[in-house]
Amino acid sequence: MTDDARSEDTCSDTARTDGGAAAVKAVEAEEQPAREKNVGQPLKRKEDNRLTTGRGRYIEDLEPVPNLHYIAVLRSPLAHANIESIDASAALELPGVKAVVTGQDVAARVKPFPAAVQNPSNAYYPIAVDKVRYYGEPVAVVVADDRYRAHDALEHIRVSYDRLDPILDPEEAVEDDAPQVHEGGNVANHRVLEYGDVEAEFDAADHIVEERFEYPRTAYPPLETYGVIADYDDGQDTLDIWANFQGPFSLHAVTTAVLPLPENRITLRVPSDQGGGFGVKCSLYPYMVLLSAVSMEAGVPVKWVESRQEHLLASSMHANRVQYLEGAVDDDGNIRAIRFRQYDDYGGYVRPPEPGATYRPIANWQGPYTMNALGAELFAVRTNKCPTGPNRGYGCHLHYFALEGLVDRMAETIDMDPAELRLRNFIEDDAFPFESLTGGLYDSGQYEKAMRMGLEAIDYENLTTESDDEDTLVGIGMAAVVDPQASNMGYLDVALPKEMRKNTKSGALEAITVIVGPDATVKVDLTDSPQGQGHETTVSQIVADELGVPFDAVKVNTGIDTSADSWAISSGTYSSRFGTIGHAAVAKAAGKVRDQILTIGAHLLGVSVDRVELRDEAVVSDEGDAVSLRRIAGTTYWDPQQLPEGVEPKLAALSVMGMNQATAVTDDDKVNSSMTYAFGAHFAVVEVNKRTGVVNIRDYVTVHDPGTVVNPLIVRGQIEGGTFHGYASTFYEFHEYDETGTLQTDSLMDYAMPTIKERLKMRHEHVETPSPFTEIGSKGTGEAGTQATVPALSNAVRNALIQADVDLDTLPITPDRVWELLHPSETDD
Amino acid sequence: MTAEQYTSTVTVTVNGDEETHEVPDRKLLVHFLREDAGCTGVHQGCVVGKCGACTVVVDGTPMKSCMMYSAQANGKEIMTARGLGPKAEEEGVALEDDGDMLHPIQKGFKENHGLQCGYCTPGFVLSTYGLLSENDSPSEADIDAAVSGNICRCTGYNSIVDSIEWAAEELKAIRADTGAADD
Ligand code: FES
Ligand code: FES
Repeated sequence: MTDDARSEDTCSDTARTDGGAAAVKAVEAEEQPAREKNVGQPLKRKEDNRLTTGRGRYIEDLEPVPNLHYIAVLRSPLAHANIESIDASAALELPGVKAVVTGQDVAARVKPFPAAVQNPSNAYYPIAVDKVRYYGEPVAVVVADDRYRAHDALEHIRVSYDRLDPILDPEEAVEDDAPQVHEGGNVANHRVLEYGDVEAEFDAADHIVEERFEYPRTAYPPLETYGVIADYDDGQDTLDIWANFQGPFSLHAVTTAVLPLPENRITLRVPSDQGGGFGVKCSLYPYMVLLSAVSMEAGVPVKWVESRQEHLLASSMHANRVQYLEGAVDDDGNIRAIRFRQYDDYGGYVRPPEPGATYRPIANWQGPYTMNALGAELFAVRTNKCPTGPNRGYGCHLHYFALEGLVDRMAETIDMDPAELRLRNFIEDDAFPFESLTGGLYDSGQYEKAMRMGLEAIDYENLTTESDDEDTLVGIGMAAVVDPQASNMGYLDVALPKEMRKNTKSGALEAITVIVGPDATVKVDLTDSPQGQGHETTVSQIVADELGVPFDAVKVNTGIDTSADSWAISSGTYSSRFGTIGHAAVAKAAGKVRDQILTIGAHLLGVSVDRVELRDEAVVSDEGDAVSLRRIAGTTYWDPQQLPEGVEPKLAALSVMGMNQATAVTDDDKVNSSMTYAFGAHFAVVEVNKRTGVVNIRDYVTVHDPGTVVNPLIVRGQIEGGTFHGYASTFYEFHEYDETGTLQTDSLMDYAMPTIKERLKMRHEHVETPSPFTEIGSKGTGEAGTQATVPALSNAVRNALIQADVDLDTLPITPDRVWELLHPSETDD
Repeated sequence: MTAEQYTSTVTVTVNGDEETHEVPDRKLLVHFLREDAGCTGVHQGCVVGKCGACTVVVDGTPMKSCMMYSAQANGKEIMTARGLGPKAEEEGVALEDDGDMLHPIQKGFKENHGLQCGYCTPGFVLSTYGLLSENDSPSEADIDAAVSGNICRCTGYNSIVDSIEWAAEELKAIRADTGAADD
């Protein structure tokens, strides 16, 4: 055994003059089987003892300041109307009511949020100022000493509205005579992009295949809703915000930019636990600003926990999309080019980071296929619906729903097996790193291997759509996707033509601090607020390996405190970035600390640093002498005179990790919009019951390549969860507005979240192609499942329905819709 | 008089400790537990009885605490996820795990990655407790029926089924080994 670290006196000065030699003991190397690496092991999560016993700490559990007041939000019952007057006098008479704050009050205190679009007549405040533009938009806020009393008061506020016609369809909204959501037109952003000679490729192709796809309003609402606490301290002129936000990242800058205080007087704190996020909690920032303004106006700290109904009707959804997609393909299955025109419906306001749903997938628009040209005409449209924001798969699941649907149609047109067509056009293994037409830099992959693995797992060769039951149609479907991770902050610059770009942006940073304390325990500070991804566990695995300490010895602090943590503008847990940049930054910071330990250890052993290694909590020389980590730590902090000249007395490192591939947009509109690109292929066999329209899934297989897997349990959990969300929006979940713009799905009675009874059973296969761009080769996995599931399932159902001469190009695939498609004569008026 | 002015004194036993508070009659049990009794492990996801995040065990039966007024719980015994480990110790079935005494159900969720964000988890483990108190060898259909009132947004449920099956097996094995409390 190495020296017994725990019995050593860390304050001892016995080693003062001999470079630590007195502390050295011989190591019997044979008795020291190298500790197994933690990375790659299915270790059980550190979080789980806390979470299974109800000891997690979520936003609603916090009461960080005295005299907290509660707010309730009065919301618009109309989708589109001018506000004529608001009378709150009766509400103010009620016991416990401290204030009623309106849009005018808020607009006097904060600026409108900035917008990244060409047509900025947008004026987005976190509350309606003189006009309401969507059903559920905040109109007034009650501040009271108790949440029940705040709600009571809502009924006593009188608002008079002048009703306007709503516009709800994105294609109709671009017409000149459409009702105007904002002055200056409903088109907030319009771009025509061309990569390669699209026209020539389409002219030369044997076939042009066209289809219109429509993707409805969906969302992945987390189980825990939003919560915000804001405390403006007028004595200090400081503002403290607590929120279950997925940032801080660039939306922190958006938040602070509109508040009337400089950034160094505003602190954001995010609790260590969050009850799910899925991108939706990125859109919490308007409420952070709203509560801040309310706290200033009312002079008290305020707390708000969003109700489920508020969440469904007015938090954030994913933009719905109409996409016209065309593919140019030859008889031999060579895909020459694709082009598309799309209308993304961003609702009442195009709020940051929108129009990200349009541009986020730009680098991987061509998916896993080689082609010669790509063209896109993009409209970001405003309508009278809830504003939108990131949702798991952000922009990509919509694109792949259409692209993979088109690939199936191309296969039908040239009478080729759809698996064969995909395999023929895949980017080959030796082409990586591969530059896509639009500037993407796909890091690594083995697409064919992964695809074949899936085909084999589902027994594709022996599958048939023949059915032995005349009421049942059998369908087989698949989809292959390139899944982007860790957004380059600069991708949104494509929204503006180059003449309009003032300052471009680039980068994808993550800030991580690793500290070995005087007692040799290891602490890692993240500037991330995980929402169930198990950061404490995967970070411990990486750090334990880097520092040669046990997994349990690493303490990981999650959550964010912008006044105390070192964070970077793009830090946070969103965009599947933790598995990519988060893990890389952890490894890098730990690597720096490891170098410090080795330098000091070698010095204490009296040998050069190239003769030592770190293992089992000790620095060991090639002669078998060892000095314990505890000794090194103790010496560093208690006895720094022992350190080699020029070495700082610390065992700590901050890594603000960037990736060189995150460059700014080029003048010809190319951008590498993400840092790594994983691969996923999904396969489904479905049965459609002709009499009921019910779809039953007979078999489902996923194959994913997320690069190096740090913890297989967690990766699988992410794939399952993502696949579940894709499945939910294929068959169950969507937001339905009626013709007046009233949301019909504002409770869990109408918004159909699948329960355990509706779960999707699935089997998983994995390929591991490490990324050459990241420290340990891992990529993200948060959104991969979602992106591939929607097209795999919709292709499978369509494959069944075309046997009855019925086509399918929209979601969700509910039993009544399927039934109506199969029985058109019975549903005709 | 407005509705909020009617109050009652409510006494409940939560995880073995008596809690007495004067609260408005309209106060929901979930809010009583969280705000007055300090049980922040009782979560709320919908407050209309659809998600199960607020599930607690009331006199032995899992109930959604957003669907009861606190006054209706007067005099009753309540167990939250926090009380499950001590309950397991009392029954002689607790499992030691990294310094914590876990109920085999909690351990089952950990072993099978039956949770991600953990927000739904206290509700799931307590609904499972209700199931396993009545049925020591539940079928998949029994499991589906017992926890279909609990929503999980993160896992996709398959690992939850595995967790519950693992817990049922483990409990049976421990009881067979120790002859611990079979009703
Ligand atoms: S909070 Fe009680 S069931 Fe959802
Ligand atoms: S683990 Fe997040 S809701 Fe179930």
